[in-house]
Amino acid sequence: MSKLAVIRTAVFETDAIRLVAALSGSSDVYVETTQYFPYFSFVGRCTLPGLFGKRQTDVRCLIDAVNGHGATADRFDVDHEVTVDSSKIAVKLTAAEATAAAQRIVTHSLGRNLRVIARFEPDFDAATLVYKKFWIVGDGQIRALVDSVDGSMHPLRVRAA
Amino acid sequence: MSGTVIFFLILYYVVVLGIGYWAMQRGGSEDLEGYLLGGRKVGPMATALTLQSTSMSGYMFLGAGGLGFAQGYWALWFAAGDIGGGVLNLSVIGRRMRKLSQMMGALTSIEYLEKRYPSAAVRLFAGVLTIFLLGFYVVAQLIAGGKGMALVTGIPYPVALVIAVGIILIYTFMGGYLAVAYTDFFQSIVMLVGVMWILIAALTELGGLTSANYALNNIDPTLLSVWGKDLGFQGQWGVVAGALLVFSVGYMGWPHVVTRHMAMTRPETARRAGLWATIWNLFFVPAPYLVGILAILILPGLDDPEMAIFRVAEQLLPAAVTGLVMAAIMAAVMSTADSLLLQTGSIASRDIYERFINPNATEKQMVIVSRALVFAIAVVGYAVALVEPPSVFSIVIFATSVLGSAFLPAYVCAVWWRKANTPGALSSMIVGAGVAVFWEVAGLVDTTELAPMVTGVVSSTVTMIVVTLATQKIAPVPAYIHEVMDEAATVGRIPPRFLAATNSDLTNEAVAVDAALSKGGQNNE
Repeated sequence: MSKLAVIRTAVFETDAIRLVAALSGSSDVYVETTQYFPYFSFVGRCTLPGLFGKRQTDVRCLIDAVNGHGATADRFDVDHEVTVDSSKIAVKLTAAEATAAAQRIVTHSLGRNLRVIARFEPDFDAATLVYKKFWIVGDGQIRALVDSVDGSMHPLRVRAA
Repeated sequence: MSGTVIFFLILYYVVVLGIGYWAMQRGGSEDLEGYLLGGRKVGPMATALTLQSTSMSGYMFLGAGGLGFAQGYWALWFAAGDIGGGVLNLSVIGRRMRKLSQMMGALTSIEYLEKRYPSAAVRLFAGVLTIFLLGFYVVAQLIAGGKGMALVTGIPYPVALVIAVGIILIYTFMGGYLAVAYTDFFQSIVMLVGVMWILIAALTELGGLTSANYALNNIDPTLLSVWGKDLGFQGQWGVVAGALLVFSVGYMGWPHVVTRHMAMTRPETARRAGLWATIWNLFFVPAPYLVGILAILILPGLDDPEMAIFRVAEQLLPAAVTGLVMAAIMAAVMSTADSLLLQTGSIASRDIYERFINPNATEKQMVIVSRALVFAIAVVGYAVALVEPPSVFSIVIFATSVLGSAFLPAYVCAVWWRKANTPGALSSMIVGAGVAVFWEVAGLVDTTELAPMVTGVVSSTVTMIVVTLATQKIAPVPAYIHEVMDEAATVGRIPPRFLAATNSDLTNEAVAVDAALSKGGQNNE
């Protein structure tokens, strides 16, 4: 058993079932299991250029601790949950690799959205490992993971029993 | 130009600046972070119009009008391709490209090519070629900005060019309030209304389209023909195909447009944005060509055809409206130049400098490289635009034809053909670019009646297929690329509405969870 920092759940088991049932048209949908996916979370500050001088803004970035891909993120709250180890996806990235990826992604996102060539000087606090819970929902014919934060989903392969 | 025009031009910029300032301050820092970094994005309509305002460059206001003035209705072949280009682009490679680039962790379109076709040579060739051609494209924007500025302010062209280049550089290096989505959205609305206003004013002046067509027929009946003035392109289907292709399928080979696929939010947003973009295109795209055609009657003695739209606006619109419309056009030109320079700088720093010269480059060094290249392009562009400025039309068509010829098969096969491999893609890019440049430089269009875009795309496509098939054994596509391509296509038998609701941002998580579950509940740690 492990105690994990988990991004606060907003979409619960019944919501996940309802979402998948509505799309699949099946009434036999159920939650097979839950999986906790790891991300390195970065919080810090960066500098934004502007016509009336520079200003500072907060930066948040989540780096997928399995593949190293990532994205900038909104604020989120964290709860602590105890779970069996088999529900955790293994971390494959080091904190240093994740930090480099975060620097790159934040710089790229800011440059693209502000359409400017400038130094943003992102300054992160130490990375923390957080998990996001995914509901694994299916009916035997289809199977999907449902994001417990925003309810978005993605199909999974259906394997023979 | 009257003082009223200049007053309203300044007023326009004050309003745009105000919108940008409001957008950046709105709701304090949380909303700003949401816009710049988080999940809160502008909606499909604003997304679509923002893209259109930044992609409709000086070409539409100078090149399109100039072509209509010079060739009459033949110019509408280009408009026909352009109207459907956005949706075609989005349909063929949009969603899959978005998903594949996400799965492969590519941030730039050139980086994506290297990850799909694993080879440093792919990235080096694609990066250098793109920098070179986007540099050409920027020169067209500088010329457009300089000409427009000279007309609006009445100052000499060389000085106006310096001012235009200076503003574009400040825009690119400072960014900030002028470059947020809300100002682009506002600009796109003003551009659309402005161009439609000029078109309606021109039609009103001439007593309607039928009356204008009779008048054109009296001047030169061939201006009404689909074969161009003096039937100069009669039966030249290869040239017509080039005109249709350059802004339709040609878009699919533009690295700076492909980058937008990678930056799309959700697939459903992209679909609705595509619809809005098409509606906008239907109204906006033909208008500059038509104004150019009508300018033959309104301004028969026009010395520079590329100034047709500006001159018609000046002649027919109230001074206040002229000021606003011209300001919007100038803003669009600067916005496009800024986007192109940003892309060029990003490719130079990330895809060339960091990848091949200094893998441990700091953010400061990358910014210096980007800015140095942008500054060099501005200086060279200024010199070219000053000494012997080519037409905006010819520069844009050249750059677009070579980009499309080089990259179209590589990008399309990257998402649709599992066998497409590195030798195929690299040789396709080299042959496509080489043939298109050679066709243009050697002037083979006149003798063969085939446009560079046609020969370039055909040769690069054939090369892609032949070389790929011939090298399957010596250069097989890596297994992990097959896996991500299969994943990008579909996962099993899934109801269409379920697939439509899929969030491709979760693809990497789905693959990892799939792998973990396939272990049958073993400890994943």
